[in-house]
Amino acid sequence: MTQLIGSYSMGLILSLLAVGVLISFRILAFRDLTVEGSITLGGAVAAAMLVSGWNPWLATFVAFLAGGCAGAVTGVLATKLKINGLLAGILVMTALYSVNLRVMGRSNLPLMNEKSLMTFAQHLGTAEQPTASGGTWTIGRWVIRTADLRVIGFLTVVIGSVGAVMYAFFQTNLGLAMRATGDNEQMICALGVEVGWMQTFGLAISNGLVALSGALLVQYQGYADVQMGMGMVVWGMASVIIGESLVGSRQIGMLLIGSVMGSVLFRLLVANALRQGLNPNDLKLATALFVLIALVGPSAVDAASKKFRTAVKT
Amino acid sequence: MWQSLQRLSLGMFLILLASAVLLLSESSRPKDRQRPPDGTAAAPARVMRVAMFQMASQPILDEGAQGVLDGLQEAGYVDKHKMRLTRFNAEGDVATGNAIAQELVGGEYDLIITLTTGALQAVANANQSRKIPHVFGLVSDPVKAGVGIGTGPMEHPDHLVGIGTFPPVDQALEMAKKLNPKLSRIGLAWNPAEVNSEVCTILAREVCQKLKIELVEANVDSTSAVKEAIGSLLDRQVDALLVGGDVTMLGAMDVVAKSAADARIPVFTCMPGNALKGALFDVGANYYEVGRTVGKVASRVLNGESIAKIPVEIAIPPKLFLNTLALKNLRDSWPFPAELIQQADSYIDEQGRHDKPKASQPLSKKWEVRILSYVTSQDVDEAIRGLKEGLTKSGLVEERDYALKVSNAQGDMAVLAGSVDAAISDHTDMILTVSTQALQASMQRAKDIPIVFTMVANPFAAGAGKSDSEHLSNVTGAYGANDVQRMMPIIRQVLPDAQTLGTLYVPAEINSVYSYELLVDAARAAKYELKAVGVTATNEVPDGAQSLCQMHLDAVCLSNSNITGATFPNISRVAREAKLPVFAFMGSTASQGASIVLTRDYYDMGVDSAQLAAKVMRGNSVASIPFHQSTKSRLIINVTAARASGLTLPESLLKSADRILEK
Repeated sequence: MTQLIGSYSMGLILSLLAVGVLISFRILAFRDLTVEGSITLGGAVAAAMLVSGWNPWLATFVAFLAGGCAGAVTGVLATKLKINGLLAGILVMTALYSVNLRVMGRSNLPLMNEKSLMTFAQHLGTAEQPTASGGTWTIGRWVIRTADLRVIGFLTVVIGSVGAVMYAFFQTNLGLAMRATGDNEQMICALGVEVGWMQTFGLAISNGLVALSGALLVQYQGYADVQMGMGMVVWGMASVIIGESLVGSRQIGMLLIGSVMGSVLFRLLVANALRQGLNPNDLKLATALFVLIALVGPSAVDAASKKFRTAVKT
Repeated sequence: MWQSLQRLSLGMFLILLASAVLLLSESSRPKDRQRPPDGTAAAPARVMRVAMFQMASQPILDEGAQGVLDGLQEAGYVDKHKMRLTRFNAEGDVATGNAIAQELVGGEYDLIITLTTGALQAVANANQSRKIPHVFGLVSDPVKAGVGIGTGPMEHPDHLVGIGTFPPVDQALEMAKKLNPKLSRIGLAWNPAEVNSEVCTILAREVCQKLKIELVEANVDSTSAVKEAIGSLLDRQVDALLVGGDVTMLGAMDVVAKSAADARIPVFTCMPGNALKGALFDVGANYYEVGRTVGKVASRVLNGESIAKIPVEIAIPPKLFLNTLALKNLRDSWPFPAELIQQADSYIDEQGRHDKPKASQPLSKKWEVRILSYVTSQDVDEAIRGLKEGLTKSGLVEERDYALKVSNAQGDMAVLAGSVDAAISDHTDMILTVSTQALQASMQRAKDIPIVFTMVANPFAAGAGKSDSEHLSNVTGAYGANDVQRMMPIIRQVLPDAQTLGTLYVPAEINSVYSYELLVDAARAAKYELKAVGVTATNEVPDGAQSLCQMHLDAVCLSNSNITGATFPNISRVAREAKLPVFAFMGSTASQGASIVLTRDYYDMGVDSAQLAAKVMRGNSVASIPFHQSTKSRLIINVTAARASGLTLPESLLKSADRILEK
């Protein structure tokens, strides 16, 4: 049960990363590699502030802003200095590596005894001081820690509200213009929107969300490490694409929900793979296969059911 | 609204399905056991479930992991025997790392072993409430990891203990200053992303300040950046290079050593094993040793010792390794005082030999060396690896002292002869042969090229000489026959009622006949009846094996030959169908169904031969170098095959095994 809840929590936290990737990759049609740096940046900023005793909410918010700045830099490099988008992302990601080391002051920052949003969430709604083993429910064979449930509830609320804000944002004029920028740059340019700033702004939001995800991640896992961004952009994209093929729609609300579902599903699959006692060297192969199945599966099911329907009709 | 929900249904369904699978697989596990509160891992009578978790795959980490396994094995804990080991590797992915930590903590393990700081932190965080016994290793500074470990050895949580590996940078620097008092600038390239390396660097800064040495730093982020970083340090006029406990730098040690040698300055490290790669000295504990110590701590916990009473060790006694060869051509003088050589745990003299100081004999030319082998097999590969590493261990440097080419006849005699001819026409200066056939082909054709053989059972039968010191003037090498003497008591031990043994042999192979005769003698001495069937070609083996197994044997004890080696899977299958255990003398047969294998250590034999070759290169006449008889053998036990054929394996035998296979 611990692992199921752990996978959900992890999936929810990383769904912010997926939403960030969704914005840059799908909505702006911008292949943004800054993500690998900005998720660490978010984690680093939050961790550094928590260690020096700042309020966790403030630390998390500053992490969001820091990620936004990183995204904005990529945007400026790409649109104002006309550097190829992929390269701009790589440049910023590389630079962030040093920045992150500077921010943390060393390569690994433990947070185990700091007050964080997660410790806050664990006490949510109870007056009791949480003890290490206390507060469990037993359902059949499964033991659930109430503190874990509170964390998951907290994360659901946070991710839900971020999602709602994003959904509302994309209904505003600004949000619509941003979506149009990705769909048809020339058209939106003709309508008098400054494409460059629009992209920069979008990247800032995207990386802000990614950094937010990083900030939550370090508070959840209890430490920040300068190498924690490795490979994240790929998993973010995988979640987005899995989500897309799950909901089979390009409506913005559906895409947002799809990204969250994709992220959670992805973590569950990894957990299952671990549970089956896979050879550790094969883990990445298995995860790649999951993504492949998730991509091909729904359309195959669709095609099969259509065939079945036509067969029934005729 | 309804439509939206319908759209989401597939995703919801899959998520529920995945959750259900996860939950159900959990319910099939044994129920939560009551754990003793003081962090002991329950009674040692049953099979313990152990998980080992490392954060990434890197050569040094893998060495450490191997160390842990060996350390556990020394205490009798082998996978599927007293413990069930599951290994996890996050492959550098933090999210996966956390998932693994959750799985470990929720997974009914009796003990979790973590390697690297990241793994320690992930598990420690997940394990806060369950408090499953947890042993960590390959962590530079456990105090800084923030998992509740204090500075005193007993200040640790009751369920968490391990080994910290603080690299002795201070000792390394002090020694450097002692060797060369004029030392004023030291270059240090390091990867800021590694906690381990960072700890080293911070300490190095302090010590350098104290010793009035200027520390010049350069950063690397990957192995590919090492060369440039070293270049930038050399441009800044450093007197020596220091390599700390930095995985990236250690991975590129060869590059570092070469760049430093070109600039005529020394390299020293606080990780042992690098003197062999050209470092002047190194002092510290290597990851394999650390891993072994971790394995031993883990076994203590498994034996039921209370974690609360085991101290956290912060350092392992450092080992000192000196390399006189690296002194050559240095810009400054770095003499090793005699008492330092006395202290050294290991020492390479001017001639490249270990532990034996002697006069220098520099190489007069670059040798063209050819390794010739007849067939490809695991044992041949081991022997070739031994040859290559033996040459390096002798202090020779590839491309400087010798150029190496390897050719393999793929089991074709004609090709083998052709390879010898090719070697002669390429003006090869020395031939290293692997296997009797390669030796014989070379002896016949290359009459005046030095030949050094390895993996030969009996060089005398092959015609290389009459005795160890009286032999062909261009041939020498290392040999060793099957250890039949040691095998007989083992058979007696595991199969007390056996009376009749059987083997196949190949009358056409001189080495096979020799091995067979040895076996005949040993069997007679041990009062076994030995039945034998001769085969002359691969396609006769199936029939030969069938008829052998119908001779009312108690066991097959197969003497070595090339043909039976190559067709062993068939022999093993026939023996299995006849329910006969197989004892053999070729390392590769253990994984193919032999129960107990006593093999010459062909790697060691290769190293021995390479050392003879190095002597030849240093100008000793081949005729004056006697043959070297290797005596070391390795016992490999295939537990599954042994049980399937009804052998009883006493604990003492399992303990004396060098390797235990499970399939």
